[in-house]
Amino acid sequence: MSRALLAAALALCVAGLAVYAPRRAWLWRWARVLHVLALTLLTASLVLRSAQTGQAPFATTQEFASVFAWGTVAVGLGFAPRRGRPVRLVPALSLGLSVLLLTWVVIDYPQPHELVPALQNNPLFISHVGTAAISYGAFAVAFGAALGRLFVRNSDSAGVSQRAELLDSICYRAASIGFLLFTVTLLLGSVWADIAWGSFWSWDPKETASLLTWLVFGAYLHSRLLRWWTGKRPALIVVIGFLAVIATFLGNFFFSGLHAYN
Amino acid sequence: MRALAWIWRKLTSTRLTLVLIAVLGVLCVLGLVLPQAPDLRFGSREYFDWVDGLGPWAQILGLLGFLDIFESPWLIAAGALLAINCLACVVKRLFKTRDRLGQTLLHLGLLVVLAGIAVAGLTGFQDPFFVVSEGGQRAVGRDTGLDLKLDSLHTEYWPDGTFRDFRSQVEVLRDGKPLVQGAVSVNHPLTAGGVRFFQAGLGPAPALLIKDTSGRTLFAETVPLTGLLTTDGVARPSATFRIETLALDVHIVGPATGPVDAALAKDEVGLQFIVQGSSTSMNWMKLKLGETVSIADLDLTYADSRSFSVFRVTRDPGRFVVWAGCSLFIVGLLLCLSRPRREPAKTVAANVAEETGHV
Repeated sequence: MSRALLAAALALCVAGLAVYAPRRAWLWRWARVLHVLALTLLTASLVLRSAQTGQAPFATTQEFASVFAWGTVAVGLGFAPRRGRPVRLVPALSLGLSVLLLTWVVIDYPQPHELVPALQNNPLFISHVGTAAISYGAFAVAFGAALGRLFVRNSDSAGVSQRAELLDSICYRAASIGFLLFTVTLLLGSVWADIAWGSFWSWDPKETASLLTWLVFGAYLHSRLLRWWTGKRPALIVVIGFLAVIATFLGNFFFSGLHAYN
Repeated sequence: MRALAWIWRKLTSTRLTLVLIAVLGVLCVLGLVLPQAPDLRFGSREYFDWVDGLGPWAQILGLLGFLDIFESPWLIAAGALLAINCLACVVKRLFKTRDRLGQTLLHLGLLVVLAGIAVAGLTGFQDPFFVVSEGGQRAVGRDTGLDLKLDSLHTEYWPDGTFRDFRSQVEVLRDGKPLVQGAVSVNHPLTAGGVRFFQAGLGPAPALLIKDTSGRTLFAETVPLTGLLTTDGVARPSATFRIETLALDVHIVGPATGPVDAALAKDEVGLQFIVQGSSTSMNWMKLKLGETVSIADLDLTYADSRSFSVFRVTRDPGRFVVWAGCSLFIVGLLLCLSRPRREPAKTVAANVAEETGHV
């Protein structure tokens, strides 16, 4: 049943993307409705999965991917205005990324998995992995805005300038939210590592990739203080940061370490 | 004076922060893509032996410290420079208005974290692979005066055969006298005498008895099979021990975990004798639990099937400093992000566009 709900949410994300595509402002309100419905079904799927397995849906990479998609859809929805014409690029890109993630999960839907002893710490398991998923979603939205900023052509026209400023503003706000939550993720992970392994930092590949992500977005926030560092350069840092997010997310497939739980 | 002012400007510059963050980022990437030395001190003989084993391509990288990058001078120097940059920024902001309180707390928090890491590195220790066999006792060392005794090991499994839980019933002694008794399991460490004991792993530890034909005991110990020997694609727990009086090395393997082992049953071990200092070795032989086998004037008995626990033993006086620093950092970050962002007139127009325009 939870797989069916995920598939339905995927279909709604695809529909939302399709409705955002045309330059018809009256359609974008319906895109927002589809966006909300997709989030609702995703939430229901995750709750049902938790009820079926008796644990939070974080035990496998595919389960985490579905929560990553949830975070992306939720934060993307938060950057659509509540009245007036929607800002279509950023919520559309958030739906697009969720389509990729959900397609993978629906095709390769994981069987329920018992937790290994190291993961049996419910409060930290839920809070550490949960904040990671939402921060990834915020970084994904920042990435969408940064991509849009990179493709805005340099022009003196007021419209283009406003578009660039708007994307810059969304990118900064999303990255700030993501950075705060990701800092909390690292902190909770360190607490848990200290309890489970006796060391709050072990340079495990996933930890190292997470630190890289944190450093890159920290560099982006610092770069905003430099008067001469404007235009497309800060957006480029966010794109690099999101590549680090993907490396952190998929790292278990390439590196073994404490997070692989072998 | 001018030179000092120049140095101060550079130390407090955001550009330096960005450069140092970039350097740390590159070091992280190198640490991810290059093989890293497992728990070997950079520059030690064991480290260079490990580097030699990687191949000729690794020599220069090993010498430069790129194969133990997380303990290399590069990371330490970059971290130290970042700490100085951070401290200079904190000092600079102390004389500004309280508007900068968030930034000050944030950077101060980072400094406190780095200080905690330094304290831990200089005064603490970690032993990631502290092995004790069931019924055995071992000194922790490092001037702690502590011994750890493993009374029993208990394991539980899920229906699919994976581990559900494993815990060790232990006793910690100080100078021979009992200090603390209790259970150690994953996520539930035991603390005694300022030292923490974490359950890190487990494995088989057969008890062997070797006598000569006159009945004299030559070897009577529990051998934890902490190694892994792979033959024909099958990985089996293994170990090597020495019988000094006979100048013999003995390889011992236990049955593979998981799927049924075609070569060794659950109550069997395999043994191979090798004359020390030579390549002469005997064929592998099997020994069943409780059985005595006579071979070459020796009586070998597989006396008991026990287990061993692997503990991670740490003493980390810098922990609470690190947590205090993290708390300061989070408070500072919240204050920074909760301040309304000063926006130029251009961006105000963009906010209007957000409400009425489209992208």
